[in-house]
Amino acid sequence: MIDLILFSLFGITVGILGGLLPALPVYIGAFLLYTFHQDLNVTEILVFWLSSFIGGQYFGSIATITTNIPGEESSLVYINDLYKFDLYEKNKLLYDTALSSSVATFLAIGLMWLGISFLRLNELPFLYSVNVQVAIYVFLILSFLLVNKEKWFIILLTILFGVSIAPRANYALPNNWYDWTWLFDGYTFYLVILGILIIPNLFTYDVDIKSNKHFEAVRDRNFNWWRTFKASIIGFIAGLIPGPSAETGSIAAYRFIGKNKKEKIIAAEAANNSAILASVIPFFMMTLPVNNNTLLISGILDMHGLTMSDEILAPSGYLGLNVIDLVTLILIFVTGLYYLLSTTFIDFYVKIMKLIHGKIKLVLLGIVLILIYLDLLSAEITIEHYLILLGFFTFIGFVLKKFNISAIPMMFSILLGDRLIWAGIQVSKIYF
Amino acid sequence: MKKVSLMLIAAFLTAVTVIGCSSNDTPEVTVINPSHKTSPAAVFAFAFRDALGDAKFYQSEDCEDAGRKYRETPNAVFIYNSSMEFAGRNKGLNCNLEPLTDKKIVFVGQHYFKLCRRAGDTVDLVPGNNRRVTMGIASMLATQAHENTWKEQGVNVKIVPYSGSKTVAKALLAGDIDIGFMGQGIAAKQGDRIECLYSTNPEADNYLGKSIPVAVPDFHISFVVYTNSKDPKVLEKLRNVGNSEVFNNYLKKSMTQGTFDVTQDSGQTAIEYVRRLYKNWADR
Repeated sequence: MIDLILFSLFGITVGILGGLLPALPVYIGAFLLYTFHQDLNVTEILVFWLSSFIGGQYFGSIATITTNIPGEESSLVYINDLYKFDLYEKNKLLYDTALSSSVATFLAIGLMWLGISFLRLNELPFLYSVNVQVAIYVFLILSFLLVNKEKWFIILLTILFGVSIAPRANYALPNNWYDWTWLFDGYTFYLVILGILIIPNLFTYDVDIKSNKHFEAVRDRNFNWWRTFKASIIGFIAGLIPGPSAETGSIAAYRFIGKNKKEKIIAAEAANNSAILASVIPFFMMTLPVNNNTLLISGILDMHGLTMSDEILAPSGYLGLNVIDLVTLILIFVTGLYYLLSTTFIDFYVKIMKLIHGKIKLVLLGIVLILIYLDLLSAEITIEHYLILLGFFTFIGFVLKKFNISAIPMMFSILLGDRLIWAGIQVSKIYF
Repeated sequence: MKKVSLMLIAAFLTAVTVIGCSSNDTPEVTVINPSHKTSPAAVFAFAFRDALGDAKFYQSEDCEDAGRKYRETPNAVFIYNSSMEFAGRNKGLNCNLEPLTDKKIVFVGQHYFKLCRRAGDTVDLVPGNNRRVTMGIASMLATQAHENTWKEQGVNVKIVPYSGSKTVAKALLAGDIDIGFMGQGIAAKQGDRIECLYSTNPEADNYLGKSIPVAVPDFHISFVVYTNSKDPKVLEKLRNVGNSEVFNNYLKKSMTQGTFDVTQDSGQTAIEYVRRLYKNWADR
């Protein structure tokens, strides 16, 4: 049990850094897991990952409010409002967003536990049918195309590329399928993310923090619990929709909840926190990843040969509890700790941000080099082949970034392409 | 700041390298799995790796990739299975168990299959019945020749390929297919949600060969675990898997039969079985 507490504390540290440093993505916890997951069991993986995932969201708002640098993308919706806030208002906002985030996270943890424990999807097996799978994949692809209407053709090309290199050891495909995809043999999802997302962001990242103000979270007696509850529910529903869950929740709550800027910001923060926990539910119940974070963990469990929906209700091996029960208990502890941490030491966090941002490119370059080195230790291809593939995916990442094209559809298709191809083959055999 | 950062990176890389390169008494073993990660063969490979404790694991792209890894890696342990060789031959790949001369066999085993339907369903594989029956099976065995062997017996079977027995079971429960051709361990896991009409185990009461004289009625996965190591410590470590509670529990739970009491000739039975499988089920 001590080891799980340590994993959660490690996750909290990563989550705090991920939230405070905008250059580190919100999926940094899941990303780091790729380097040391091999000896971990499912409970340990989930505890570390979810602790860091929640933390990134919590501390992203601290970075945004104190320095006007969005710690995570879901803060973008209200970033311009913050220029109108004076120091005292920001200090009150720090407390209120921490409290609303905690309320939303506790609520989402409860709903997640109830849903997974009592909604027995195993008793609704038709949900796993190939027809439902095809419907979900078609819905996902159409939503990717419709969200990016002007660039739909390029998005479609990225999806087709991902699908074409995804299948492995699929004997139902014709031999010539692999005639050119051998060029990508040995790529890892880790390598793809490094190339497409991390490295392009590293080279284009440039901020300077000049704030010398004294920040502290100041309790506001007028905190509105009902509004926070409504925002949490909106975020929770938004989190179940595939795509950028936290951003969708944040935007929806910002638009529909609250009468003034402050209320809207608090609502947005509540919503994005409940959204991230809701986004793990389809993954836990149906092994269906709906965002970058769950995609990464899905890849890790694939490497273990495990199916999330089978594992989540299995015994955890600790205290006689199931995996979901134990993870829920630890997340309650983690959320309580985050509440305390996000309402204290604010000046300390600002100092950390200033210190690291002063040398941000060097720090990030160091982190990326370490990540590449760790990946190379377990890579099953030569260094030359690895670097060529990394160069290729980095090039794609730069192009996508330059033309403001989302990388998520391609990531989805690379990870889920194998299942998509299987579904296509099975439908054709069953119905034709 | 710059110096401190560089020193930290250097210290971290050194620590990782030292930990990575630190050695203990027994050389590191690498378990190579040539099968798809959702197949019963992969579960066998995971169980073998877990029983070894600190072994590395290599999930190959295909069986040729697994063979390459085996040749390049010292103290490699290859988890051979007959279905993998059959599929490899079908695709023109060289994944053969033969020759046995460069391999030290440590374990041989068999895993039989069951043909099951959803509980309460009335579908059956009755010869002469015109009803089209969809049968889900691992893609490596989903050949046209295999489908034809059923049709020759008057059973109108349409074979649907899946990545492995796990996905076959899910598809059966979801109502996508009428019959699931799946490993008996995975069939047992489904409990009373399915009922199994036939078994491919010749010792079973509902042995398929007794009811339908289809080709290869005794279909099974033949496991042969072999190594390229000549190090006595490694060989002892591999043989000790036979005393491992983890591995024995796996064998029991998955209903896989096998023995560590082997000779080099033990692999010959598997070779002859694959020849028979290839003769009857391969698309040529």
